[in-house]
Amino acid sequence: MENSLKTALVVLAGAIVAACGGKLLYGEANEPSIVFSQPIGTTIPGAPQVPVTIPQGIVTFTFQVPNVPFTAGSTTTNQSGFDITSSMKLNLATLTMSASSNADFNGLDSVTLTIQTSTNSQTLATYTKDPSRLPGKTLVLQPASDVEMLTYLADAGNGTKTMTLSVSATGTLPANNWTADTDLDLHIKGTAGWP
Amino acid sequence: MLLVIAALLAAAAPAGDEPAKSQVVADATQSLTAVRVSPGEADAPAAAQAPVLAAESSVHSSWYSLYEGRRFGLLMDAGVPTGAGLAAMFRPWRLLRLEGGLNYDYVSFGLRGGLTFIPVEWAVTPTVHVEGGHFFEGNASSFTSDASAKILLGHVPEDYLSASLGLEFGAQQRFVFFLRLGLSWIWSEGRNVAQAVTAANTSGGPTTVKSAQNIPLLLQVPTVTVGALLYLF
Repeated sequence: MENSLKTALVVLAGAIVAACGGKLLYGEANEPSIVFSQPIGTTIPGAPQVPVTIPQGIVTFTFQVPNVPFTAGSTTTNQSGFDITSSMKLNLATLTMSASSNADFNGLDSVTLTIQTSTNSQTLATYTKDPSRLPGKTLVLQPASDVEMLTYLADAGNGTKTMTLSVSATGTLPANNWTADTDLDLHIKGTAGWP
Repeated sequence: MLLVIAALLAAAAPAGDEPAKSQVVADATQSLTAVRVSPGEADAPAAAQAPVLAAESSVHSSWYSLYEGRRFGLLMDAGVPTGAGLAAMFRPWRLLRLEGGLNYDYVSFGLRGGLTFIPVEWAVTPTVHVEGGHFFEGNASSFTSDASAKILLGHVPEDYLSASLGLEFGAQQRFVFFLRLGLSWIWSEGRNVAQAVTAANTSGGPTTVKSAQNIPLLLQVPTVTVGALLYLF
């Protein structure tokens, strides 16, 4: 029995070493939800009250992502021998019309939020109308797929990054001019390991 | 009456004189069957002791037997990243020591508990040590000069778990020095994230932080500990 215990201890010690995954130093910061809010920054003119079935571009704007402590600005980097990885993914996106806008989103059948660069674009979030739960002035878009948003960020200086977002929709667009705030609820994670 | 006869027979048979004793027993058997018990009674001390001694020696060699040496002591240690500590020690079994006490890591005080496995006792005794603890919320902002990180680290709790291999020098019944090397896992949390992000972005951009959850932090770092253990009783 004693020998078995000793063997178990040796195995335990080996397992601990193996559990290191080859990294002697490792750090991880995981922000499950941080909500950034920014005005679209433009007024969208009212549209004729005719339903559109082909997605129609409504607005394209630049969203500025502040510098977040413990996260790097790109998916993988190596700094001073440390392998640093970062990830930024969408939990939810919300468009909220300003109270002064005499309009709402109730006429929209579907909305698509696209993230894009000059060479690439990807659907970031979508909304599909539920007639029993009209959105009113607050449109909540669900993440469309596992989009790594960091690959779409551009450096804006001062540690901040920007991304270009585009909104398109089908259905009946608001009749009156409107503007909105965009809220992005993000999951941000950063890791660093050495060697 | 039988007991008297047995005593007489036992007295007539010298201890250790097996042939004579056997003869007596044989003779006695012919007349009094009950006398069969008499040699056992006469040899009672030896007969009774033998199994006890055997049992004791088997107890001594069992890993699960309660430790018969000094079981209680005091432990002091210091290391990275667990800080300095003072703990009470209890050694219920030869293979195992338990400890519990207080830690201080420059940021705050904490509670600790640990297990030390002692597979063998040599002049230099190898050990396997596992320890966990909790540090109460403290201000760790002095470790950084970054304004936003200072806000995040202003109220930091910490839990840790460490596993290490050690060497102990000295008498396991009196006083030992030890050195341990291993790995620690530290779980903490960055708080006031929204304020920290705002502080990190003073350029006045259009984006604001509407809300933010605390940031769970995990660190895996090597651990080094030196200390001493005084066995009291």
